[in-house]
Amino acid sequence: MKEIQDNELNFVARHFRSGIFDWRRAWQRFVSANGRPVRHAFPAWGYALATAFAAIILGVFLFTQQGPRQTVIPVAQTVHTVQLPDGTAATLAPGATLSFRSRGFGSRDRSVRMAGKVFFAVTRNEALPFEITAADGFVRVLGTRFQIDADSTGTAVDVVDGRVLFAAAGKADLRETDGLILTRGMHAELAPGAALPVLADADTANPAAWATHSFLYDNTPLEEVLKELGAHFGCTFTTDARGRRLTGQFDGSDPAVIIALIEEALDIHIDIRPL
Amino acid sequence: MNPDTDIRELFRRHYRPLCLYALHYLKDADAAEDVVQEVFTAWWQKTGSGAREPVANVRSYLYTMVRNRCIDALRRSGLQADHLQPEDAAGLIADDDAQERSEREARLWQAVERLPRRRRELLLMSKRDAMSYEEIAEAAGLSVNTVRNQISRALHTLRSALSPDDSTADLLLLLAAFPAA
Repeated sequence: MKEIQDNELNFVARHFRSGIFDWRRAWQRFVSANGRPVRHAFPAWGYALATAFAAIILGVFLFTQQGPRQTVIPVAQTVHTVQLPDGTAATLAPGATLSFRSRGFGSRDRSVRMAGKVFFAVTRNEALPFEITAADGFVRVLGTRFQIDADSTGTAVDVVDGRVLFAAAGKADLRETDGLILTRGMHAELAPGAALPVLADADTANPAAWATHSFLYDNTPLEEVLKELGAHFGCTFTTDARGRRLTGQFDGSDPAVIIALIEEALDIHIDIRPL
Repeated sequence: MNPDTDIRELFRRHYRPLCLYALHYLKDADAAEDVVQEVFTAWWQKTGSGAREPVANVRSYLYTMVRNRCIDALRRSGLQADHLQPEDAAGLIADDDAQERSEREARLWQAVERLPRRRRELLLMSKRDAMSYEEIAEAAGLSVNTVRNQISRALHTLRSALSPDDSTADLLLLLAAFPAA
């Protein structure tokens, strides 16, 4: 029979309350929040679609004062992905909102309004551009992956791939010269009330990694790589290696795997510590 | 494993240990439950959507997610901690040890929960409130011998719960949970 560690029993005793930490109760909570999970029965975006429907059924409100009926994806508490009727996937960061006209979306237009940070993987449709209004910013695309981060301090756009037209909102008959064309890896910002967005350096190499779980580096200084990965995974990564640069793409949500790949690529050692 | 029960199985096996792991960071049982619930939801959204590669070591993955979210939660609450690692009286401990410790603590928790109410209260007075047998005897209106005897029995039960070989008690409870149809 094993001996009891005093510190462990004391910890349990100090926090013990009858009935909490019960997995069955937690499971019920999970099921009522997410629906009873059935794995592999849905296609890749099936879950997102189910989430979208659940969100629509539970959280839809009708903005009659705005004229056409609107579907509103309510504020998410966690990162979640919804699929729009045209097949576009929108990944909402906590606190973000997204709305679009329920009727005609995907046939008459592909216009959405949003606030907060949203990553879009837009289904390509040459005939019907995908249009986004976010704070003072307006973005038009054909088919691409990019994110928009809009709040009261302005609107920022980061393009992962494809081609995006970024302009100030509210202009009729927008032409390409009225805005800024952004392509892969570009970052631009629009200040509140400004007429044109300006190109800027993104804060990190992969600003959309929270949604894509993909880190792309092109001759990036190792210090910057480790700083970005550290902020993303909530860890501190340190190394004695100096002046190294990294090129490559790293996918996944397991920091240990990504760090192991970098160690192997550069033949160095990296220490991992929680922040 | 039946895919339909996959995540339910993860709940059954890891929910309580993960809560105790989170509790070491957050010191708040409700916040710990919220974080673990969020992690299971995030896990489900990732794996259930089929959009992600399966993760080889689910257990480590869940612990890592819980740890990261605890650290986030502490950071959001404005805590400026230099060493956000689960702590015990002996200081900082490594991740693997912390996971195993959480699993032992989960077994202790369950065993405490299953103790007869009165015996449990006497044990908690001793361990939680650090009362002497004499103080407990006086507070509970019992003899010191009875208190000593009850707590000794409680500790025996807890020790049994920590030994996976000694599973008779679990088996009986399992039978009780599934009465013959």
